[in-house]
Amino acid sequence: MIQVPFGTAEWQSIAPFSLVAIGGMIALLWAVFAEERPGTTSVMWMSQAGLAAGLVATIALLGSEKASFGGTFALDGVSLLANLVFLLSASMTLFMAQGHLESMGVRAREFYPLVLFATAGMMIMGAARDLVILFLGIEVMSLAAYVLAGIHRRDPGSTEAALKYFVLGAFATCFLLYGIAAFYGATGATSYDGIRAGLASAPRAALIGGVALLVVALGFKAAIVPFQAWTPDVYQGAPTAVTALMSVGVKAAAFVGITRLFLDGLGPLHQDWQRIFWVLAVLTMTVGNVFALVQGNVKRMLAYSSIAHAGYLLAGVAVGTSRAGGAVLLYLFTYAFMTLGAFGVLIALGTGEKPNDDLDDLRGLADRRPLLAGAMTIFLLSLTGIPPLAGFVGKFYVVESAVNAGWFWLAILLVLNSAIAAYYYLAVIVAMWMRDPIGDEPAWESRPYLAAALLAATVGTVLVGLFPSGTLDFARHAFASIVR
Amino acid sequence: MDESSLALPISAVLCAVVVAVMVGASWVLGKRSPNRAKGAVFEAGNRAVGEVKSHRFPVKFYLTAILFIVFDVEVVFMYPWAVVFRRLGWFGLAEMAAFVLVLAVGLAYVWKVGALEWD
Amino acid sequence: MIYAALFYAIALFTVAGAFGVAFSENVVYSAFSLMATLLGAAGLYVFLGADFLAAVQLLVYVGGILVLTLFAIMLTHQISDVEVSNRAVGRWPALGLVGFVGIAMATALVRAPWKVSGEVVAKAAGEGTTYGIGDAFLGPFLLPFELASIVLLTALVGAIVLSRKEIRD
Repeated sequence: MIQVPFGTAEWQSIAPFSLVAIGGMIALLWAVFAEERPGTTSVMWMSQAGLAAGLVATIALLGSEKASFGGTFALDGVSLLANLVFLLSASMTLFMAQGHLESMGVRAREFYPLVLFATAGMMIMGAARDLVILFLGIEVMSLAAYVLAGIHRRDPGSTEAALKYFVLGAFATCFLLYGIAAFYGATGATSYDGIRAGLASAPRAALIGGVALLVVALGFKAAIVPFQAWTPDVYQGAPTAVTALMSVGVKAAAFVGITRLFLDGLGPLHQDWQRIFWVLAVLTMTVGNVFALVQGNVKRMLAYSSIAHAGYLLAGVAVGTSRAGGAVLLYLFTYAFMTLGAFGVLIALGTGEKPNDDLDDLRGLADRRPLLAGAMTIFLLSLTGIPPLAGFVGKFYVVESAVNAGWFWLAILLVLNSAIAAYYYLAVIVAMWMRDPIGDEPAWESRPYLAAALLAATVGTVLVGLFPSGTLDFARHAFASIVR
Repeated sequence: MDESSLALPISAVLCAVVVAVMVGASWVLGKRSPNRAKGAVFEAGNRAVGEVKSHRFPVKFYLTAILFIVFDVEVVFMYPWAVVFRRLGWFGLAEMAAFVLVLAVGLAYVWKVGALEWD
Repeated sequence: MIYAALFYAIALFTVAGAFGVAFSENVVYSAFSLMATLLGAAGLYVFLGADFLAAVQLLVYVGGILVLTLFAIMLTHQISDVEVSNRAVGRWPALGLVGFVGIAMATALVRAPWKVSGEVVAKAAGEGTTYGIGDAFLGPFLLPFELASIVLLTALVGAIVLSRKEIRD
């Protein structure tokens, strides 16, 4: 009989994502087996129940720090905080999608279980301390995301988005596998502990090659320049609720994966990857902001803005200290609220026939729908980084950790980029409050769940901005145990 | 090098020779006359309806192939488990049961949705 | 000596298949060349002592994925005469870039002093790798084994959602 390593630590570490995945499976079966065709609302609530189960497990485990599965799957502050971000983005996506999909004519009730599977994949990525587990997490998340991007089958934009995302994503997965193979060959292990142990005696060329390949693969998922070309088309073509999930959840998962891999697994190689990330971070911020300046469509502009935010996050990763890691995690938390909110507003503007997400469609919104315009203003100001909102807090701590570690130029460039970004965010605010509306008022529908989600996002944005220290301390403490 | 290790090279060479002869002979000896009928769309006996865009290849073939692959991969995971499951005991059974259960959910879904119906 | 000849033959077969995939004008010829490449890869796995993997390669890749590829080609064949409007950088710069990267990677791979894991090879020669993989699934790779089932489920649901008839209700 083989000695089996499966004890309490293992059950606890897999509980959050397993509950979400099981919830997804139950919701899937419910969607097809209930006696009459169940309305989508009931499937949505079942899916929310799955997410709630994951949330309960995560909160119950807060404070634990255990290694499980031989150190290949972590249960620590980072994975738990990341889980909170993923669960938040999934839950809000489900609320925002309700009603929005029906009005577009999307009948697929599998949308909700697929979001849960994607979330399970994200949670796996957040806790993976082994390249194979990271790969599997990426695959679960990505497969669900590809399908979700194309779920509006009648819309050619959605199909195009799914196709582009899939083809390029599969290509990126190839790079990931080559990188894993390079590291396995060089160090004899795929687990982060094993890689660290084998780094000293590993052939340098293989390590550099492996690092490059992994940067390409994970950079694609996180939409970092020069791997960001797919982002604007995919974000714009996919249904806006899916875009919200991709922009927040997938990006956050990619960044937590990158952070764990490079700060923990490849920590001893930091001389090599820090400079790469520095350059990529600056490029990403700049390209994202510059391209966002010229967009006439708000959804596409938000896509470029999310690229820019990926640049700010990557700057935090480049710094590489545990202070910076904590800042990155906090930034992800704040970024979730404001981005979900911004996309939520775009969903609220759409009707069955038209998405109404051009800049011209937002003109004069303050006259017609003042609450919506107010919420959007809060989200946009937060994205710009104006205190006392959440976005400012996230950026501040990233800049602070960069300065603390001596990376002055990075900090300066980050602040300059934020200033450039202010132009296009403020352009939307100006259009909403100070311009007259064009055309007739569209026939907006009443969507209570969406309204609730927007309220939650607004409250979150304001509260996290005013009281960040709890989360920040938790995040920093969580990272201290990882960065060695 | 003993005799048993020569088996693989010999069978490989023989296979290659047989296949080369079969294909090569038909290539050399056969006449090649491309005509419009051969280049047309394959339609299992029916003449392809004129404008190709108006008649689409049924997607159920593709769906069947995808279902086959997913369950084939499941079986592939079962092979290594099957050769060692005796020494894994109850835990091995539980582990495989979890794996199969997840895919059974998938099967139930596929069945109920009607993807297993041919028309 | 014979093994070396056999290896080169299989390697040539594989690479020839790969060239066929990339350079054939007809998509169906590409698919069949892909079959040659995958068969060659199975042969190379046998050379590396990975017997189980060679069998899986034949079962899943040649027996499943290739069939899938052919169906996908038949579903989309009418697009082969579509003009590709995105020229990107063109062929010669692409050749230069690919050549450079290829040579760099090949040099790194060949010159790197890779570790050789003696006991793995010996064990494989003894009882076959299938036992080793089975043991691994209950030991260090327990979690990936279970996660694979979720990947398969997601793929299944996704395939159905994207390709079934539209629901009308």
